[in-house]
Amino acid sequence: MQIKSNNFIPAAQIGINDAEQAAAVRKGTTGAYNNRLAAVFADGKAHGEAMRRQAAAAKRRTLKHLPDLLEQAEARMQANGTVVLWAESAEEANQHVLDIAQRHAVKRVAKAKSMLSEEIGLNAVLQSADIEVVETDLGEYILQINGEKPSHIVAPIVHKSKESVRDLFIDKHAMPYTDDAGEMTQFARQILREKFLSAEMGITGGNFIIAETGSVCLVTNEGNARLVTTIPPVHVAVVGIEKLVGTVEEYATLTQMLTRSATGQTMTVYTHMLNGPRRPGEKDGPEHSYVILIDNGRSKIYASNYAEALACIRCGACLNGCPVYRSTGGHAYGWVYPGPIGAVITPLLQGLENAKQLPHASSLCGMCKEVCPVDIDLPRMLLDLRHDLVEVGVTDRTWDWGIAGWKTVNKSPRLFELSGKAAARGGRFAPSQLPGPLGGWTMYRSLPSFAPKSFRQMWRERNSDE
Amino acid sequence: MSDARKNILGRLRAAQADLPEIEETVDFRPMVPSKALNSAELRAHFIREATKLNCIIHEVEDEDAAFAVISQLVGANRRVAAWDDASVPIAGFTMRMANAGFQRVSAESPHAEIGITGVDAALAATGSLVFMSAPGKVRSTSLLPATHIAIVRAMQIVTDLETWFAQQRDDALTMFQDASNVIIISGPSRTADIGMELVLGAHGPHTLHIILPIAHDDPAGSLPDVRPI
Ligand code: SF4
Repeated sequence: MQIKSNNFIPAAQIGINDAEQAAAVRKGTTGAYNNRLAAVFADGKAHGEAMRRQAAAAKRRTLKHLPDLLEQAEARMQANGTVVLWAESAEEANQHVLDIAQRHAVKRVAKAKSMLSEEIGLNAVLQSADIEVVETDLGEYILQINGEKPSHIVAPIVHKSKESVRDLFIDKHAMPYTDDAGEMTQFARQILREKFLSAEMGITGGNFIIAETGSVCLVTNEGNARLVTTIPPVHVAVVGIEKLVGTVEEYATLTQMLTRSATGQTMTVYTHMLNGPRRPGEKDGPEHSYVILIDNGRSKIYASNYAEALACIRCGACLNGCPVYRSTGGHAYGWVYPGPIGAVITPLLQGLENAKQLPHASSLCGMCKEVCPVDIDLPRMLLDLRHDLVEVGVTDRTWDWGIAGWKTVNKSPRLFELSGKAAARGGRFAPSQLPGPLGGWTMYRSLPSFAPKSFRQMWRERNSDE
Repeated sequence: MSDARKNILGRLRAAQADLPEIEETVDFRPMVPSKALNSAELRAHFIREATKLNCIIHEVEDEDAAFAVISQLVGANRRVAAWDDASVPIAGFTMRMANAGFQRVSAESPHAEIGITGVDAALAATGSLVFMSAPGKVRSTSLLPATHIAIVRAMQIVTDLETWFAQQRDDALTMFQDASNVIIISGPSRTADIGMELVLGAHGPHTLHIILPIAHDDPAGSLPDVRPI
């Protein structure tokens, strides 16, 4: 997916000014935020916090043992009949999927939601090889027919109102008019059922891989991932190398923390543990199963000061809690992963120079860390990234000019005093909106008025009075 | 074959030692703290949680009563898919269906309107059902039809996911890994994608009936997995 993260400020303005989208995002994030609170602390604050620590520790153990767990998982998956492939880059991963598709003469792919597949741009690669790719998660399907990108890692169309979905279905599929979300869902179900039954290959991501059993685990509510992993004869899972967990006990903690933190459910409707292709005597399930373990920059993060970011289980809680995300929506972040976790991993995966503004897309209020089920210190990492920006000299022009000006003025006592006077006088004529890139400041607040007399002036007057 | 595997593992190994030390052993607390429950309480707890998830619970005295409920739910002229007899906890299920005049289709048929299955376990803490795929236990039966009827034996109800995994661990996870597909179902399929409104019946069943016979295989007080906490 094309990265546009250096456009954060203008893109955020668009998001904030779009009243319909802003209302939808507010509704979705507020609901998810409240549901999470109720679910995580259903048995009291102390228990909820203890479970967070348990989940955080499980993911830290995973990271510490990551290479060993990957080898263990590979061996287990191979033992259950899964073909395991490794990919260092997006291109290599996409080539693997393409090769598999061609080996099995695939013409149509049914796909469940996978942020990693967005990250590597898988759909475009398959489509350019004349393979039809159908997104089957309802939200992702709506985005696909509208040529849009997800704006949230759990609720991909959180930015869309019910009315805009209705109009889209009427426009693209001649749906009979209805305002009922249930009828719209049934309408999409009919269309997609056909696609499931005729797809030769199913593609999913993976929320976890349990190393000791080689199980690829998914959480879904709609049932589309079940269809994708049951009906087509070939199943391919594209999974980031950080998605491992060691044991079934760790998995039990993490999968239940994931759903509580994401939607406030104690369990999602479907909690899948996939152990390879169908066994002799079984009448359904894929005949061939492939798992592609994808690095695409993750091992670089592993070796950095930001390794902790790999503990993320993509629950979306930090998005729902973040005051910046809640007002800008997800598209402003310009790539696959929005919100606080996106502001951290986008520059890490795509290069700081391609996401200069994201480390600043936070008020450092600390909410993201507080709600994170695995206690990732996102504010610390955002600060460190700001530091890195300065170190490597990647900053915004306006910022550089501003700092240069500030330095000149402050080095000279005369200029400093003059600037104070100018501000006090000029303040009366100051516009209510600052021009250009500084406009972001005045969008939310009015400019402070300067005191009519500076401290220096007052000091001098006071001394002369005596 | 590329060097991807070697390179990735190499990079990770080189950095592994720099990661902070961690606590290796932990006592796992279950997600839902529960008190010791006897079998009746466990059953009541399961029913409460499953009802919250929009499941429809039918408590019945015995297998005959269970089948009578099923007959009523199926009604006339509906296409029914079912698991093999060995995996459905009502004796002579195929025969009963034939006698009742059900229009039976193959278990994996995309045209079935109602799917009837047993389960492998039920989790009281979350109102969930566990299914482990095997010959005779076709996955589509609980997936493609708009209505799913699951029959649970009382002794199959365990406290929670953690307890169920502990049982699997006792058997060295052998049964778990022998199943190509393990799925835990918590309520009928649903979505809230459109306008954040909850809709039941997205891609899977929109109705989930759970039939709980008070079975003779559940002598009072001898329930296997009651974990005191
Ligand atoms: S960083 Fe934490 S809160 Fe944010 S998505 Fe990842 S796991 Fe969830």
